[in-house]
Amino acid sequence: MAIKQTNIFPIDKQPRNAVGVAFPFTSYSPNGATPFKLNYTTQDQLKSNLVIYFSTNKGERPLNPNYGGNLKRLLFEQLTSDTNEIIESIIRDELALYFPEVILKSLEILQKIDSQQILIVMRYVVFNNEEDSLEINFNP
Amino acid sequence: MALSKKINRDIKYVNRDFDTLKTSLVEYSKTYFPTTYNDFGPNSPGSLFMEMSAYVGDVLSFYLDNQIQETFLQYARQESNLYDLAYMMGYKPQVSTAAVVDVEIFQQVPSKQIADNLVVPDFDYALLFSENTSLTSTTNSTGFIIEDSIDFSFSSSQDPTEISVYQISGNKPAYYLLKKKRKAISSNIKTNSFTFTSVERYPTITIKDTNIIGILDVTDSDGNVWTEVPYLAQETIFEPIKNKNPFSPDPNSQDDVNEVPYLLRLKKVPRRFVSRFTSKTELNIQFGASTNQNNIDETIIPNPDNVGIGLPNNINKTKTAFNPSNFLFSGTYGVAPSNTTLTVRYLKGGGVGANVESNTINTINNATIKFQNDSLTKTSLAQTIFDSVEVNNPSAASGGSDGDSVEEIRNNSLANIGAQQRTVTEEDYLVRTLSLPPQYGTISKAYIEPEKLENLLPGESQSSLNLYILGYNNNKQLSITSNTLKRNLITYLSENRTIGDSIKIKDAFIINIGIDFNIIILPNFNNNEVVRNCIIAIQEYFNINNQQINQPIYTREISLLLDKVPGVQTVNDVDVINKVGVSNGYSQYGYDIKGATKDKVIYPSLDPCIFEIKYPSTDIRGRVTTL
Repeated sequence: MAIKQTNIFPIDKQPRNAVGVAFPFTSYSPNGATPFKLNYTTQDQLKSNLVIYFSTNKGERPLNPNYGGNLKRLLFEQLTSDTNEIIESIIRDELALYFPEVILKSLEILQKIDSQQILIVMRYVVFNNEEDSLEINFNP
Repeated sequence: MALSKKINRDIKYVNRDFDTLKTSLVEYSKTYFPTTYNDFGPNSPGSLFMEMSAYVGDVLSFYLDNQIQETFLQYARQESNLYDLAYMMGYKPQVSTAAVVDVEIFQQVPSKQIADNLVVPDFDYALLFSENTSLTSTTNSTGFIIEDSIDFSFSSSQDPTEISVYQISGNKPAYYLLKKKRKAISSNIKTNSFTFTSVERYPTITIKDTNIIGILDVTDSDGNVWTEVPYLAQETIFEPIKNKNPFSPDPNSQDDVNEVPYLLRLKKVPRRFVSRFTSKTELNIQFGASTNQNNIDETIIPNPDNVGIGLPNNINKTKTAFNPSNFLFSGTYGVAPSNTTLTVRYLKGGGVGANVESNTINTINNATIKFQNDSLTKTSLAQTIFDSVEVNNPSAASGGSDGDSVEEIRNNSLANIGAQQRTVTEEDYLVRTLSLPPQYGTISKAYIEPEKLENLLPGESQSSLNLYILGYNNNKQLSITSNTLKRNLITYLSENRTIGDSIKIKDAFIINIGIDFNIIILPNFNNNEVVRNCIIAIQEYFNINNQQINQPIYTREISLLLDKVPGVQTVNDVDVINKVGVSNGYSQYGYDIKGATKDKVIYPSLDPCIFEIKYPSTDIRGRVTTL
């Protein structure tokens, strides 16, 4: 019987050690040691990192002008059928470049033209681990 | 290939930038928060905080480095900071430098007959030009001013009036042409008025203009003149007083007016100000803090009541250290103007464009010209004379520049530290002596040495210095200086003299000499021509500009000098002869040349002396001999 091989990040083997700060920032802390909610698994931290990355415009980060998904700018463009293709292209390229450990399984891009919103739903796995999903809602 | 390497003026005092700060923060987190934070990639939200902190640190570090950099004269870049640093070093930067040019001013005067067949210029028609007469050049209408007044009726060796016949009528001169020379500087006079109401300590006013050269004068509503000083703590200035015999302080000298046109006096100036540039277009003028307009004497006479004034316990006074200046001066640094209007006249102009070509300054503003005799102004002849005024610059103006560059401010400020006026060493006294302004008398040679031990009087300090000086006469021959000049020199040196030094000003001894030489000339050379060239070579060698007090004569050098003259085959003899005798036109002091010669070097006397060939055209003689 074939056994599915999974990869466990070393930090995940130490459940007491936090990986990083969760995003969006909240004041929740299980032991009160930190003012922010922390992520204790790499999977959770990666989700926070993806949100941070794709909600950042290029040039927004000090002294790191190439950082960011640069998706917000599309909100002010005319939303057409081509927009979805552009967004998908950007997400795939950026993931390949900055998140090589992420394997995209599916990507849904929903436009709410009346309210000028874009909802991105991506499903992905990290190093053959369990599938996870992320929703990012862009509105002006 | 030569590479030009610029000076790196970036000071890295904190030496922290974004990357080093972020690396430090990451290392700090790894060390102290290993269980709280482990994701240090750029996508992590925690990195966002670190990068923000590093960014703030980077900005603060930049400004701190910049602040440190701007406090050093060598590295400062901002102009206003460089100005402040320059003033701290005692150097006053220039934002515009005036061009200087020699101008000739002409006027006609009619002739008058004073005896049979004796016609002279009628100096009743001589004109008087007041100070700061303005001129205009045809080049860009550049303005010039003549700072000194011009009096065509006055003539002296310092300020000669050249007279030539301008027009002849009936074999007699009808008009004469008078000519005077003056220096003119490229500038225009501008005026600003400032009203002062209530009393304010250290009031400061600002003149905003371009190409400001400096303050010309400041007067208040009551006609009081305010004087510019280098710093407000300086309460005295040098004041020139016209030397007019028989009021000369030297009763024995009847002819020192030409040698010493002005007497030097120290004058107390309670109404004073300092000026300093804060940028190329702003000149600040600051006054003192004394609010008492009537009692302007700032010196407090020390007495037991005001020694240690303000101290709570008199018993401890014996153990208290006092700064002597605490009770000598009121510390007001001059009078602060109040309830008056100050009229500030300043000079504006200069720059490279002010270096106008020759023969272009031809227009003179005659508003400041008048006759010495006011009754002449309405006659037609007087009008003709008045209209005859002409001006010209035979040479081009030079020296105009756009003020100090940033690099010039740096270098001039650093140089200014070494050029402090305080006189400490013997060389300081020598330089200070030779820098006496010429209107107070010209010192051509100076030599200073400590008083010899055997000559010290009982109780006399060993810091006693003997300053030997000499001047020039009209023919640029060495001469003894007058007592008036020596008094001016005493006043001039007293300002910066070290308190323990006593200086005796003495006349150096003048030893007049002649040179006889004997040479053999190569064939095919003209004897007279070779001898003449030899004499010229010796004249140049003994040019009085090259001679110093206590300078020996190397006869071997003279032989070598003659040997290099084309046509000279052999130099047989070079004899230095002492020329002495007032009746013969020489110095009264004789000198044993033979006794002072050792190994072909003629040494000066123990009492400082200087060797001079007084009449180079007759005192150098050459003879040609044959083999």
